[in-house]
Amino acid sequence: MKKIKYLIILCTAIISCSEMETVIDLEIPTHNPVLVLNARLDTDTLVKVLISNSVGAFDTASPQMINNANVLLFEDDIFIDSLEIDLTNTIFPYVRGDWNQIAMNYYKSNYIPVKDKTYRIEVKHQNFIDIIGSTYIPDDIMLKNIVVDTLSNSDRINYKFSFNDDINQTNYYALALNVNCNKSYVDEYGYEENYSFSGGVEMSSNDPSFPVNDIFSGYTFVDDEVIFSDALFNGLEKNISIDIFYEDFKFGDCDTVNFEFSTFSNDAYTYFNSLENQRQGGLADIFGGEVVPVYTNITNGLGILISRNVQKVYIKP
Amino acid sequence: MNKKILFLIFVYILKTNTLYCDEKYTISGYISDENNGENIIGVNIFCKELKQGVTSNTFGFYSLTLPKGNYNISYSFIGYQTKNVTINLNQNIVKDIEFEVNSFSINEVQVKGEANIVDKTQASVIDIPIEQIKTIPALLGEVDIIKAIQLLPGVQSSEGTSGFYVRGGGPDQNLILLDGVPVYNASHLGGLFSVFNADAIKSVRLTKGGFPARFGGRLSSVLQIDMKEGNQKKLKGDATLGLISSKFTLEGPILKDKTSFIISARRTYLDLIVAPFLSNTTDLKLYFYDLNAKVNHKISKKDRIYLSAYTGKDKLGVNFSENFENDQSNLDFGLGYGNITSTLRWNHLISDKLFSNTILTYSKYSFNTDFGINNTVNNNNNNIIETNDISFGYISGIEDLGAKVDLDYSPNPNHDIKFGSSFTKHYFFPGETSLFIDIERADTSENYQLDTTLNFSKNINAYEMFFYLEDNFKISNRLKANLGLHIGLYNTDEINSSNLFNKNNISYQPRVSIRYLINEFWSAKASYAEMTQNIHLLSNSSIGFPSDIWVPAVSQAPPQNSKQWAGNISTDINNGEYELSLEGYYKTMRNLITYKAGYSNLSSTESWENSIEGNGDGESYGAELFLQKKKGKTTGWVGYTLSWTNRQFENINFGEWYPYKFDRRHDFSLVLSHKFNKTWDAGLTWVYGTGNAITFPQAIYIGNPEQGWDGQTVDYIESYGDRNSTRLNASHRLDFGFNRTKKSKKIIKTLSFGAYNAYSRKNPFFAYLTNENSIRVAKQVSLFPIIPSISYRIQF
Repeated sequence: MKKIKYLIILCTAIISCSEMETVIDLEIPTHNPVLVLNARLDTDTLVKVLISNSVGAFDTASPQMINNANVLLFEDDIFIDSLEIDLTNTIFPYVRGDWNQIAMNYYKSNYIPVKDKTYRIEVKHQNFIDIIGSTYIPDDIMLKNIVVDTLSNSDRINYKFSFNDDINQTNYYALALNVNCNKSYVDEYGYEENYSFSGGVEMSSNDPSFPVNDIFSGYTFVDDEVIFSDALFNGLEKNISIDIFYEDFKFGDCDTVNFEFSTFSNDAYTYFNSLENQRQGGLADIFGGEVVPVYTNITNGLGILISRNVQKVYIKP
Repeated sequence: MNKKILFLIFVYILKTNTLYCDEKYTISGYISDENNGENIIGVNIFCKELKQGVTSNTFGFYSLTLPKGNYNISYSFIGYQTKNVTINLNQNIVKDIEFEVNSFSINEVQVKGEANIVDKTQASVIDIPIEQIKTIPALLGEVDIIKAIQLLPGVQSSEGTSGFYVRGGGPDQNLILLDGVPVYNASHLGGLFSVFNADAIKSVRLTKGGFPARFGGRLSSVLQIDMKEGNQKKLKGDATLGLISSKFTLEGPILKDKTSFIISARRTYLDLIVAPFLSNTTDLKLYFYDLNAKVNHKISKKDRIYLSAYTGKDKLGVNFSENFENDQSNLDFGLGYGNITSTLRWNHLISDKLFSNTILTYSKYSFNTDFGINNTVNNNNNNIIETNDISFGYISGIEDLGAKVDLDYSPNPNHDIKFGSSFTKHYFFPGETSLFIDIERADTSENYQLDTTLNFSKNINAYEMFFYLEDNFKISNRLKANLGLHIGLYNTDEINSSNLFNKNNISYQPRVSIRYLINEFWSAKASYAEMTQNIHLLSNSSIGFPSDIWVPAVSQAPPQNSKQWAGNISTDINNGEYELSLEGYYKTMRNLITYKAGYSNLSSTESWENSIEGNGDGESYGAELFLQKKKGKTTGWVGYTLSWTNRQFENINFGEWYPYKFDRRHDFSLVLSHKFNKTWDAGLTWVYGTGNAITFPQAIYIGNPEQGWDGQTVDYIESYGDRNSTRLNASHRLDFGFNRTKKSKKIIKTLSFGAYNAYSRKNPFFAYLTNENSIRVAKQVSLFPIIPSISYRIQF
């Protein structure tokens, strides 16, 4: 019996001492670095573009921002502007997950894009092959029947509106509610307090076009922004109803309340979905699903050129 | 249409029966092993004078019809002494045969099996005798049927898992039949072991192509596993004590030569080993068990009934409790999955030429997980002031009820006709979540109760029925063919609720196998088979998790179908000592489904219908070499597969074809068993396989910055290139085992020891990109280093 015990201990020791994660040489298809274009064209903002380069997965170098490229902007195939690098304003976004920062400078134009136009950006650099990106900015949407109900329920407000969907194309929409609240009051001890809140608030809805992301609250969707397509209402009038609970903010305390209703290009919808799915899916392992490649619409390169027609609707004041 | 087909079948049977107009008689009976009374499948019964013969069927029954006369009939089967019987065939004769084990084979490892690979009409079929499987070294000494199957050419697998992939097909495309009942999840411990306890198994047969018409419902393979019937002669026992499990089998006659039973049980005890190391407040359950039982009874010379059942379950559970002053908390997590199958079989001799097999079957696979938190708070007077009880449960699975009738008709030695019908009702429950919340406060009115069940996907009934007819017939002395037609009908609650079967859901599946005898030692074979499969398995992982869900074919995921062509050349060397076959195949698959990229069935609340990519295509082609040594002190085989397998979905990889995860260019296996003397024998396997195809990052680039509540952030985005465009490193492994057997008059004791992955090769399980000292590297995760094993077995 003793021998068996020793044998079990020996086996356990052998197995537990073995390092089963090892660094390996893995042959992957060769990647020749390419230019990377990232830009979002909004109807209320000057055109600005970021240019960088890609590196192979096992390259020792990291991807770098490129500040000496030739960046050309076209509107409906007509040349508009040659974008200039703005080295005076550098942004330092954090790299998600590791909190390092990357210094970035935009190529900028003094041009604000307009709705219902197609924009093309061409990028040339001596060390890389030329790349091209293109995007269409959708037309405005007329919002109707806007109703804000603050009385029917003590714990929430209800907000409704409708719009007509264009039957001739697949449309993508985004909805976000932004508030700016300020209130001064005297607390129970007689001190004057100041409450302020600014930003997006959570919306709850059972709209079938919204993604299902909740099962416990009685709503199928709860989040502070929603992106959805017209797959279920193509060509029809769409009615949207959302509830906003007072635990997030009190309508009466807010000075300004507006919602952003945006229409997206198909590329933008695909890009955001793929990016979110890759983040949620994590790494390709045995437990997760198949990895989701992040969508790119840059010919000969990587990155994304997307656009958005932003309509801001003020419901207060 | 159906009436026409039935009429044609009737005419065909009538015609084959009247071809031989001479006065003729039939010799028929059962063939069994004289030591235990077990029926023997595939015995060659041969009339030397007429050079005509038949083989015994799955139940050991044979029927040979010849013209009136005197004949020498030989009964032969490798591993048994050939029996010669002289008969005067002037009337129908019933002749049951009991075979003796070949006395020359006692000191040798004899592979028992059908006599001749050259003669068989069907290609793409491999029988692995259970005795051979028991000599194959196994992980932790657990003899495993599925692991043995994985060593055959044309079968791909991942190390350490029980899933298998046949000729480029998915794991759901294998029909695994235990005593004729489908087993939906053949894995224990997430795939480390299979559910089949080798001690209770009589025979194992894998069909990879050239499917006879009697099989249907899956595209890629049929794995038939038949349980032992129980020793008809004497009481026998078999007990094995292993490192992580023990098993016990008892079999014997209830009424000698008339009624017998077998019962076999296995349980792992990892939880019992770990228990002393856990605190008193923690209760761990981590085990699986299998229980097989079978009773068979000979009612008369013409009737036998069998009742067999299997149940097996994996259980993982943790219960943790904590008491802190007036606060008592309890956390409970449980995960369980398992199969239940049962068969009631009735074999009846309608006449000496017509054998019927009628079965009623039941099969259920279910997976469930639950999680609960319970908390009670007392005040200082020990009165309860607050209770919180929250629990969450999830269950999914499939349940089948079926009935089948198979008829074997042997009108003459040139025709062996099989026909029959089957009906199965499937009940799919692809995912049901229950939620219970009970929060009570003694001092306030803030109580909350919720007891609800959520179904993200509908439970569906599906109905399958099929009819088949096949004839294995001799066209000339050199040419033999097996022609058949399988007609499948299918419906679900969704498709049509008024009629059980809809005309639009009928599939006609022709099956053809042809053998041409080049000479006494060589034959060439060809086959064509169309298959339809009305169920799908949705799997998120590469290894086959118990949480994978079976779903019915519906409009978003129509029935899968395949066409397979195969060509084979076979030879028999040195009087059956060696068998060699070389086979090529080409298979196309349609209507495949897979989860959308990024979808995880463990975290999503979407219905499965909205989470899949459908209408996928697949193709697979390759060549397989199989050299088997069946006699002598050393037996075993060498298998080699050269293959390609690809997939195409409209929304994956931009609609371009890509390699399937188990596209494996080279796959090699060497399996050897050697008997040194009466005391010692040894087994060895060596396997080599090209690495699996994976989607791995090929480049890194900077994404578009985003404005969040905490400032601007940016991603380093990984660019993956084409789906599955990277190969994991090749894997190879050597396993060996030794057995020391001591025989006394009544007891046989065997001490087995061995090693899995003897040279501790780190084989890839999966790989990922990561940063190590600020340098990007690929890291590979392996499962098993060298794992020694020891077990002790007693047979009495």
